[in-house]
Amino acid sequence: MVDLKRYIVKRFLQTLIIVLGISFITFFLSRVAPSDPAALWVGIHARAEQIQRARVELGLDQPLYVQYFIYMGDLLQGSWGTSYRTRQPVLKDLMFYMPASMELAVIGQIIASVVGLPLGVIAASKKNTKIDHASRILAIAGVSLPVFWIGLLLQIIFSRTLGIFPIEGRLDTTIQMTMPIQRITGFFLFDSLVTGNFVAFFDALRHIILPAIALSSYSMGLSLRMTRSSMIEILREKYLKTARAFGLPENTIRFKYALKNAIVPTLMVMGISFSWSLTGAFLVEVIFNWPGLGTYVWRAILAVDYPVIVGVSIIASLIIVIINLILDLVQAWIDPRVRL
Amino acid sequence: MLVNGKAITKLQGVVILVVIVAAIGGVYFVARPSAPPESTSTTEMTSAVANPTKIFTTAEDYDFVTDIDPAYSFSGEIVAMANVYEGLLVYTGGNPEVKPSLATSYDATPDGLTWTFKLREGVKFHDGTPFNATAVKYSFDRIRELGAGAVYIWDPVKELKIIDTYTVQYTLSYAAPLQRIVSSVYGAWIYSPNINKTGDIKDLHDWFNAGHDAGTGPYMFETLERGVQLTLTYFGDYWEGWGGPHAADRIAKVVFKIVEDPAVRVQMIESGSVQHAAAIPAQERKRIQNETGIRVSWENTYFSHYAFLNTQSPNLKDKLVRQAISYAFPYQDYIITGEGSYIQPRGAIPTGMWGHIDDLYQYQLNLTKAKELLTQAGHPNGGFKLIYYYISGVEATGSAGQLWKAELAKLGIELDVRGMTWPSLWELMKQGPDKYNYDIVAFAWWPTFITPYDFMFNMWHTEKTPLWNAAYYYNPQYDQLIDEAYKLEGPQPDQALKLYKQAQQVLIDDAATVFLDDLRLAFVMRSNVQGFQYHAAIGYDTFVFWEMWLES
Repeated sequence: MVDLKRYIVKRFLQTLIIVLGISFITFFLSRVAPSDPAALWVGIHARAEQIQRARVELGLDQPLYVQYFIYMGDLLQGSWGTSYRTRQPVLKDLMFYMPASMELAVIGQIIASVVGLPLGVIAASKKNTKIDHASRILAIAGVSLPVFWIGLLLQIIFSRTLGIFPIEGRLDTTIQMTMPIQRITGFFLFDSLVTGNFVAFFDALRHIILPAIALSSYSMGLSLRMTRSSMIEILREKYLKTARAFGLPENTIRFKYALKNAIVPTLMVMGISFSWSLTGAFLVEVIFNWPGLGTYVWRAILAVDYPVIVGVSIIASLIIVIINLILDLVQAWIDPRVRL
Repeated sequence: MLVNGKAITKLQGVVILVVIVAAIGGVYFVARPSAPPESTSTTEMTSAVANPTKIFTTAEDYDFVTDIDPAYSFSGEIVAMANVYEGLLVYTGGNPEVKPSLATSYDATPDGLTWTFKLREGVKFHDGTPFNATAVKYSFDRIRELGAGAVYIWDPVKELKIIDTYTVQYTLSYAAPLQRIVSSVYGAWIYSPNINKTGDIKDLHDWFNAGHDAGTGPYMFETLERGVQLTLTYFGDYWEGWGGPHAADRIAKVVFKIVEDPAVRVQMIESGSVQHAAAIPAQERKRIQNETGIRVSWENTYFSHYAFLNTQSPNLKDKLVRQAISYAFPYQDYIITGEGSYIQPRGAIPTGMWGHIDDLYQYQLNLTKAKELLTQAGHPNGGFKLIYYYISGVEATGSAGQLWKAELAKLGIELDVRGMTWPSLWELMKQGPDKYNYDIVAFAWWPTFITPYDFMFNMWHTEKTPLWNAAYYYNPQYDQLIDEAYKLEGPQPDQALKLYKQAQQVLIDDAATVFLDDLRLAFVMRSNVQGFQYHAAIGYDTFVFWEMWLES
């Protein structure tokens, strides 16, 4: 227990250094591209004197290192600055966009796990059979087909042709107007459920299915192949032969004893792909018009919106570090051979 | 082993639970009726609009809301603002060019220095405050004090006086077309002076930008989710009322959805989930325009694309070379690529706008003439390279660059076509002529308020600090002509027009810019949209929703 505490404190300190480094690098790198945020701030067709006044108001007339210290000082006091593009506090924007991304990533990960893990186990158990070949095709398709293509295909089949799922957005416009979800966490599924707004809950669920499937495709393919190859290794182990000799049912052997040892590398990969999908799911977000962090940062990059670029980089690095920490702890919990 | 086995059992449990939830959900999706639930808030609406279920949804192609404070607003949010706020007059684009709005009439002295406006009585702001001269003065004073947005349109105004409750008088320091200035869609909105009467709103700018408004227009802001959507709802006490033969079908709410992917916008308009989709790519528009349920309306705009030739660059300093380059642009081929969206311009002022002159000289593709000019300039075989910049993703200026490149290659001139984001490109321009960054830059212009001066001053008037004069064009004769013309617009419009024509002739002869196109906008809508009306003064596809209705 003492070891665990020490380990977490050590990782926390490392995190601080990482965040500091990321903020420093992003802050200075984002200013390499030629741009004048003051000109963007005052609006198109503004006059030179208005731009100059805005430059002073925004502190952009200060030397770069002074701007960095001011930014970090504000950050420590909980102010993430104001977006030049949306004119809103960055933290407020982040709190709006991040839950949308998180929700999509979580549902995507659930789909990837529910499909990828069992199929991986089955494919390994029935190596070189038709099921194995079919799962291989599925995995390769998931990993290699671009997500935007999968997204468009899903839209054409399930939205345009069958009309089962909506084309885009998080919620139907009419429901948004007539039965709006009371915002608690920003996770529509959770918020609607706890407030008993079931119509909105099922509408939100309908909206998230297609983008989540598209987002899960890569992670699903990867976890399927990783589970399969790990399982093939594990299934050759002597202790499983012993289990068979004792007459244990085959499914118990596969899912209870073999999967437990095979799942660790898969979990690592899935954790990393989860972190990626928070900010990297931009293509899925655009196709399904999903207001997530990817879209937010993409717009910020195009508008050279420094406070947002730095803010998202910090939050993304924090998320990655935290997920990695959780994965390490889970790995140690599942596999006693792993020492922290 | 058995103890550790619990982990797997938990995992299995979670998997089973998720499968069950997914299965129940799946069954629900298939079984549930597709119709939306009955509205619960419709009862809140007054009888002013007979059918509150008439919702107009439009898919916008970019995150268009920047600042919705009427003093600051100077960007794409105008598509909504023009339905929420009103000015003293409104620009029609027809004859007469302005019509009464919050002012019922106006009068100017012959010298164009004193303008008196009679204000409309019985108008209310959305907060219930009655509209009167105090509000006009308040709105004017606030933007002046803030120095925000399009404040410079008021440069000619020395003083605004309240004569009585429903009369205001502007005194100008020099004659200017005030009827056009007060009908500007940037910087001239009138709003309630009572917003902060109690002083409990710390920052009015923040208050507006949190999604509030204080206009007199037919619609009010209802909800604003930045980056996602903006909803307007009708204002029951609107001074023009909600009656008429189509009262039952009038639009009660407007939803602006931000949908950046053109493929999704196409799907949305085709499926009928929106009534309008902005910026549909030309090829897709051609494909869907004859589909049942779709209609396309074309309208001229005052939005034009220009290619500015850097008159100070080592390659284009010589006027003869610039003229040769102008003769090497394939004008007709370029217009064809627009699939109906581009009109061949004549001069700097867009087709249809006051100040546009039809008989100005227009360069045509003539490579023989171009070669002659190059020979005179000492470059018979070309042999130099030009750098052309355009804003990444802009179809018009991107294809213009590629077409030009092919023609220039025939003259032995290499055109290096480069795309760049707008912020970076603007910064490059602002570095000025001392630093050679480009030979040609292409971008669009649309007016802040309807005057040729807005185009001709911003883009070609001498600038001490480079801002918009991307051609780095410095010609005192040109400056004098347009400065004089602007002052005559109000009192002597015919004389002003003559001077604007002369100035454009100078500009064309100097070949400082190639006028690429005047844009026509294709409004792609569902066919149940009736009474289609757009705002003539705005380059974006801006509807006048109050005039429109949705056929049942």
